[in-house]
Amino acid sequence: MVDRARACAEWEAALPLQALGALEGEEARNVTDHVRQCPACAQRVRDFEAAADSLAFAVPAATASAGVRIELLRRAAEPQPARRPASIWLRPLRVPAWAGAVAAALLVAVPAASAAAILNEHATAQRQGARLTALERQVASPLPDRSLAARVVSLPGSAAAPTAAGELAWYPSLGQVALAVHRLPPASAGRSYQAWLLRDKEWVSLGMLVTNAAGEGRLLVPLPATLAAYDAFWLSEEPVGGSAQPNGPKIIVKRFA
Amino acid sequence: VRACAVRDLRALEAVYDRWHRPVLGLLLRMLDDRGHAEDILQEVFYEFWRTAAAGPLEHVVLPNWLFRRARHRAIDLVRQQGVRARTAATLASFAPELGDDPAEDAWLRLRNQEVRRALLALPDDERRVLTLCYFGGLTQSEVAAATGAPLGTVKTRARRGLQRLEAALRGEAWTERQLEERTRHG
Repeated sequence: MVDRARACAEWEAALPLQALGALEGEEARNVTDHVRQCPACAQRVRDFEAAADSLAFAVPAATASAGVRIELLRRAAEPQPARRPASIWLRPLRVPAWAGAVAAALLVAVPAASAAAILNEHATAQRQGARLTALERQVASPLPDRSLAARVVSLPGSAAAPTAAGELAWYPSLGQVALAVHRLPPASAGRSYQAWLLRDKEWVSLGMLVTNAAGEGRLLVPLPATLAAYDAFWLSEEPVGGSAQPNGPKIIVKRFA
Repeated sequence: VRACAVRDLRALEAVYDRWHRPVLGLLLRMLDDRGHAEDILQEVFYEFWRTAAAGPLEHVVLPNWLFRRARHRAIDLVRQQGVRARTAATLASFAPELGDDPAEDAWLRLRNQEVRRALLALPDDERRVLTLCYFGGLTQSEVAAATGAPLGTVKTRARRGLQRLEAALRGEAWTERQLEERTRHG
């Protein structure tokens, strides 16, 4: 503690310039190291940064050329770079409240299948009565406006899940496909739902589908090709780590016309 | 931000329309070239779009995040590519002016007035240090050279300037003694 107090005293005078990004060389490195280890000095830097941020408002605002906005929106609407089917990536999921801070740190960085595995374990607790507030918020959070979708396909439940239903929406401007399913039965122990597209007899995984207590789930994933390039959509029950192709019970099967 | 995270283009449009003007104002104050300023402006908002999609922006103060990214990019451009910045002399004599654009929204105009008043209330030497660091992207050594003040004095002026600015924006006016006490006690 004495060492830290001494370090605080040593670097105190440099904190405002750290906030302004005006330190150089070894002093900048030393102050950065100290701030990383000292919550009190980190807070002081944040306070100085907040004061510095306000300076931006001291100058008159200016309107950009129309071309900046047009080009920005054009770039933003470009599809994600094409990915091999095996590496299609599920957006990191928001962490359920019951998963705790440690799980939160893990979940934001792990691939879809691992996230689903962790969440599926907790789903057991949820079925036993634990509240699933954060997951429910995630499941309920809005997908892109359906009116922007170029194609929306209704998904009926199969004999294995007759009450299940959902929609698949394709957004060419976003290069993404959204899946929203409801009234799914709880997955069996050690298993979870996995969404698929079939193309020329080849299965493309869209990722693992996490559901809440009401059997609702959603996915938003990159889709490089148009939905018309695929022959069918499947939702199957698979081991929580996911499968290379659907092997488990078919929950939803939809062949595209 | 949340809507941008699910790639809702209308949300990006709303964020751009709301915040691009103060961000461009900052960039035009830092760079002596509108083309470079608009290039950075577009890159910052595109970076925001991509970063929001990855999810870590939910709790940021949006304008502050945009200002910081714009400022870092402008400083990089000046330091690494030799793009012309405002000269230290121009910056040192900077007296913040009020925008008179009729398109300015009321909140922005009020915020501009409030910060401008707080900045103008600072002692000249403190305002000069903040201006050179923030708008000029100068390091402490460069500020020392530009103002002829020793490094220790530059540090003191930066600290007092930021503390006074923060206090003024909270509606407080601190005496020298209060500044000293705050420095001692954190």
